[in-house]
Amino acid sequence: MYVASILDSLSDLTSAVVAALAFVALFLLIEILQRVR
Amino acid sequence: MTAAGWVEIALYVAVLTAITPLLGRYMAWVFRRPSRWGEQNWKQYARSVLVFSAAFFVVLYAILRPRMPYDVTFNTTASFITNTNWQFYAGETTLSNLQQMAGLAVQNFVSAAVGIAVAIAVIRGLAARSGKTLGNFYDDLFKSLVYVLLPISVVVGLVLVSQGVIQSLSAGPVASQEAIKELGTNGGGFFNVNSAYPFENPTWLSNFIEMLLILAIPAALTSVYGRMVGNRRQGWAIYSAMLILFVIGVVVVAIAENHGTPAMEAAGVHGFNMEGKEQRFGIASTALFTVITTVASCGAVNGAMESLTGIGGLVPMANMQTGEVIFGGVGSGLYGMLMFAILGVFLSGLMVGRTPEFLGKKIEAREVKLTVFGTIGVPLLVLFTSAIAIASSYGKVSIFNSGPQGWSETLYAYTSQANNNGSAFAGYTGFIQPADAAQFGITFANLLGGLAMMFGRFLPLLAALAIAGSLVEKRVTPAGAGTFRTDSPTFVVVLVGVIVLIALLTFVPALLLGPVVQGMTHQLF
Repeated sequence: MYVASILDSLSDLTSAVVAALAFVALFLLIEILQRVR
Repeated sequence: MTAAGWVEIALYVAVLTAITPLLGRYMAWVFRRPSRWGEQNWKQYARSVLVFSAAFFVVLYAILRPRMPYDVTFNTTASFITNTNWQFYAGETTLSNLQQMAGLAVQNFVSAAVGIAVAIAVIRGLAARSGKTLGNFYDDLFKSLVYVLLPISVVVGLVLVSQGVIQSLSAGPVASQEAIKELGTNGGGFFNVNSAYPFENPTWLSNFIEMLLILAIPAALTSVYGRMVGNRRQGWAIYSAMLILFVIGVVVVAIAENHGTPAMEAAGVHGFNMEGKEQRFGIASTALFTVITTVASCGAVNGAMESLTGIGGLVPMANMQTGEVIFGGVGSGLYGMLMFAILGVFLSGLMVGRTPEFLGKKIEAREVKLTVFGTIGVPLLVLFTSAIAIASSYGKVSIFNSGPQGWSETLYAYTSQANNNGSAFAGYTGFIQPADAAQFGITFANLLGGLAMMFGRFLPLLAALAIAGSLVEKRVTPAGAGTFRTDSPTFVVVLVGVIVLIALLTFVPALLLGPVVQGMTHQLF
């Protein structure tokens, strides 16, 4: 349960990082889809 | 089930079919009006969708956070920006009226408008005879909100008030949220028990109106599609495929609930399964609502999903596992279905050895790869997240029941979230909120579920826009004698077959382990 306790201690920072990573991945996905041949 | 129940189901189908061309004609008129902003290609359109959604993520998170732990806030925010409305919280005890109005109700409108806008852009890509652009996201968003969602919601909200849905600051602004809850295929109830609660859904008429609202726009968009591509039969073909799968689902659930369960028989209880159903709605209205809310990515409920029989519970899961394309969410249902249509055309082309065409445009390697990505991505997401959740100690703490029902809870939870439905098998939780102790969320369920909703929303959305961006540049070839017509009954059969095969092949093992075992056992879980 160490991971969960670390995430919990970071609180809103966890949410911010997870959401930011998800949106960055989605923006990158646009570029990947553009390159599909 | 009584004869009146079957009449209600038939009446619903008739009224839905009648309003589809009417609303479709109006919406086609709205979206054919020239854009007031500059045109965008598919990448610009897609980036606008993501920027807009990210901005609203920040705003909604800030609104909800004062009354929720961080992880439940993350899950709820992801839920409402993706049109899912999965709820680990209970609206009436967790949130204030202001949070429900300024946060959730606003997002109900906005996320639905995003879906409609993208569907219109995809239609433009298919309909265009030449060009590079799909319209303007912000213009389509504005039209969806101001010309479609707001006026209908205001009128229907008042009708619901006339039926007894409450609308006050003391008891709760419910009616104003209720109309868009269904119209936008959102599904997030003001109250925890959603449309099973008399303050949200007091009469037979309010129940019928709410059911009609859920499928009104997804059905009308098939008509919009037919009109914008210049052949209304194309729209009716898509509508027919959707309707066939929908009616099959309703009949199966109605019969399953009418026969009860083996466990009931073993306990000496004979007759139909009324557990978790409102007496005033009965089998027919509950079966109908259950299928409507899961073929559309709505998730509003007027009964307890977890109390359905094994087979009765299998149908909502299977409906969602098709990728929410049987009418589906507002907008997302149509562009999801169009990807299946492209897949159907491709498979048919393979069978006859001819380059596939869709609406006169050649379907080549790029479009097929994007289509496969758009149709298989979410099923893989469901299986992957469900597997992690059931195999880890972090995931097991969310499960309430044991045995196959516990697996069904998990599978349903991630099926519902990844497909942006939002309905739930009630036992699965991510939020412990005791009355006399500090509230806390289950971090694993909240974060994994939130990510499932975000990727489940945007993977097919981006794939559909990429396909539209690819097709918009292609020239239209006139139909010849060898062209596989996509406005024919044969195509409807092909489309239904492709959807059923993909859903069944992907999920049969998982469904066997959960609802099918549950439906065959005499043991109560």
